[in-house]
Amino acid sequence: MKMKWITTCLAALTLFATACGNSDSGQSPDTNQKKETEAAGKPDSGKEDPYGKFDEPITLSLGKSISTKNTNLPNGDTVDNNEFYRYIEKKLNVKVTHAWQTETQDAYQQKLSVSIASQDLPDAFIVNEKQLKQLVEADLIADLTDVYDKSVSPLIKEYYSSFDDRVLKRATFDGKLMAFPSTEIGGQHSMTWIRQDWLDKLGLQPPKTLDELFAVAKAFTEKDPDGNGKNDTYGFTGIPTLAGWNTVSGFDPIFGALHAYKGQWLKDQAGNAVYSSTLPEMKTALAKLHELYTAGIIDKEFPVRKDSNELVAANKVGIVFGPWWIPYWPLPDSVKNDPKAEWKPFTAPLDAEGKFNTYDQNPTGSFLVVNKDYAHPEAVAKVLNVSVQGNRKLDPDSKDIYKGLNVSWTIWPFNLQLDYEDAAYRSHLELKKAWDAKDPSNLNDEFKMWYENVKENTDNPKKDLAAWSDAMARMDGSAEIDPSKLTIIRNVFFGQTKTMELKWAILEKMENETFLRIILGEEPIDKFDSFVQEWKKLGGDQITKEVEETSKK
Amino acid sequence: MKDKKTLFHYHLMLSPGILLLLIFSIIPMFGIAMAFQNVIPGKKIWKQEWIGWDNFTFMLQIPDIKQVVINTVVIATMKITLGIIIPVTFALLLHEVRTRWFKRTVQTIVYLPHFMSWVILAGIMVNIFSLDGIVNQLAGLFGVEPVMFLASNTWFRHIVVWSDVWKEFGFGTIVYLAALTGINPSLYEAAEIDGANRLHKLRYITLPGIMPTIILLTTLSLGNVLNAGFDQIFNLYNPLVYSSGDVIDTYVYRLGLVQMQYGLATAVGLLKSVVAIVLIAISYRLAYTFANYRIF
Repeated sequence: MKMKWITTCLAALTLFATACGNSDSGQSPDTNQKKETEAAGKPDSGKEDPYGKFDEPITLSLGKSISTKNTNLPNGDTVDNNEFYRYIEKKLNVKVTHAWQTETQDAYQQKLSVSIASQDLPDAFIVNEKQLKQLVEADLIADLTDVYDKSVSPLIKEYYSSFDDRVLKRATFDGKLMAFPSTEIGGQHSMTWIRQDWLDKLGLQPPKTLDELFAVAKAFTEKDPDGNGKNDTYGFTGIPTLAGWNTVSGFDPIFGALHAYKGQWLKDQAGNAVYSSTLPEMKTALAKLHELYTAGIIDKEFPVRKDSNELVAANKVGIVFGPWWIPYWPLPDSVKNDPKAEWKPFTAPLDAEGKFNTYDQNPTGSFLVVNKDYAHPEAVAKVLNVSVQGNRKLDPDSKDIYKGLNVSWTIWPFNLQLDYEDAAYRSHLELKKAWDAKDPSNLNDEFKMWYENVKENTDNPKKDLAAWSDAMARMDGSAEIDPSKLTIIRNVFFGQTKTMELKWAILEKMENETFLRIILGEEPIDKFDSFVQEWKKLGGDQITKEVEETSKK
Repeated sequence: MKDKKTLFHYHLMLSPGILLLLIFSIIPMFGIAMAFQNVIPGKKIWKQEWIGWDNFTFMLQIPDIKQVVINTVVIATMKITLGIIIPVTFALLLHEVRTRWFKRTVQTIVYLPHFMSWVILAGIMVNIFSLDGIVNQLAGLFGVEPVMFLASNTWFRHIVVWSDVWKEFGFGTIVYLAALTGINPSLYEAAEIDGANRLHKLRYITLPGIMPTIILLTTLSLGNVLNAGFDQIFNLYNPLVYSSGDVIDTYVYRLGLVQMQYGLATAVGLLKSVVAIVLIAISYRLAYTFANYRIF
């Protein structure tokens, strides 16, 4: 009797719940809501003014990752209601709102996955390459080809063309432009930063070649450069992944001097695509690193360190490989703990022909896409135009917005980096010109701040660490990314092929494991050859073929 | 047979549990379909392409799969065995302590680590086991060469297992202590009159008294034989110890989530669940046969 009652109850509950579970995945009701906002504002026909105002007010809802903490926004402004958004509304008659926002990038990815899966998407949002492909495949986003032609400003088109077609091609599917890609500025390769005070103390010259670099590293290891009487210093440390652009403590400069590159898709002599980690130069480079590791010149524990910057901060290493921006992080920690620390950047080590070799980096990473159901895709382009113009202070009306408050540019509606490929070096030249002429009057606010900081640091070196960071990064560091000092090997391919999606994790695991073991001496150098064989067999050959086909397109 | 009126409020008390079970366990069951699909996010689940057992066959073709499964089972088995023996032993010892404040203090201290996250503990572990960490310094006093514990395939599993035992045994202890307080004290008095000493009491009263709890927890923990603890290993491992420490969960994380292979990740999860339910069914059967103990 009672069993029956319970089962009936349970059955009813189950049925009820499953019905609930299904009800929200049928017809999505929000298409109707969209219609309400669509009736308004048809733009003027024909060739458009990229900064032209809409006659009728329209709305644009975003999904956005933006931290609401420490925004520096004054008098009650919020991340979705502030001067930037009001400026856009004034200029374009477009009201930007947030369909949802998250505090962190991680949360954004999760929220986005859910949004995509439930097909409840904002009007415009930013995705990564993988998600872009999925959205194209699921047919959820708008074709922006015409919008790009008609509505994107000449300035943004110029940014894109400074990369030739390397950026736009990545968002083009079957001849249709499906997104506005970001542009990752160049010059983020690792250079060699050395403690000049340690060099001076040991009476050494800055190294030019690989052998000189190793001699310096050896001296830093053995000759007690910090003078504390303990044998506790190393030449340099590393990271478990060994290399990569825009990372700190990768071995890239050493690899480059030996013509070895980790994890890049390059052209071989015959012009075919080839994966650089499998080339014989890599074997030579690994053998060299093994030698250094055994000699105790490389930090013994680099594979297990969770944070390679500990050693930098503790001033246990005299050489750090990293991009021009490391004076912002982690070098300030080093200077804080040892005011004597004199870090200097060098475009070294050079190869036998006196060249500094590096590879180009992925020129794009995030993509601004527009919901297929959104009635005004051109509004997205225009908001982007006006944001860039406002952010770069090219419009007199935008000059004074939040003046001197240090409000991040990410508060603008789209967190999409857009700039010339050589932007970092361009900024350096502009700043240097003003500095040499001792005349900051033509600089915009951001540059003026750098100028002041360079001046501050010249007058009182290292008194103010923030000033030191700006001065070191924008003057000394950026001076080294002069394209004429570099030999840049071009990748033929970025991103993922079909087989990579399945097998890359397997191949990557093998590569990382084998390379580390060779360096630590747990495997003989010749293990490299069997790694290459195995790599090819487990899908490497197939992937190389796919990369070949894609890059030939 | 009680009348329905008195039964009703029992069902009412049961309903939150059933509701939670529905929302978080029963409804998501529909997601199992993903294991047999080539999942493209953004498409409805019934519009995905059906690919039959492809995800499973791919999983079995992965070259490292054997190593990964072995690592998982070995680490999990070590954790489960020690995770029973040590808390039971500790609870029995603590039960014999007469000083109340001492008992309380020890209890509190040993179960504190349970509340710390592996992200924090892993940072501490890395420091403890580093070349100039405390372990190597102590070993150095006896003239032992420093060892890189976290880069050594000999040591890595032990570090994982023992640090997990250290973190969780206090929590297990609490459960057994609760079972021990449930034993009728008059049994002990009767045994004392019959001339039993401490060991006799332990063997004939205490152990049989907490046996049901031990069997219950063992049965339940067998379902975890393919869970070796993702967050712990993920925060401790590095490519050098893949061959001894890479487990199913960390592997699937790199394969499924980093590369967004949802179908494959679901297939692995489903397989784990199937194995777990089979093991639980078997151990439940065994518990009934040998210990004459049933949960329901």
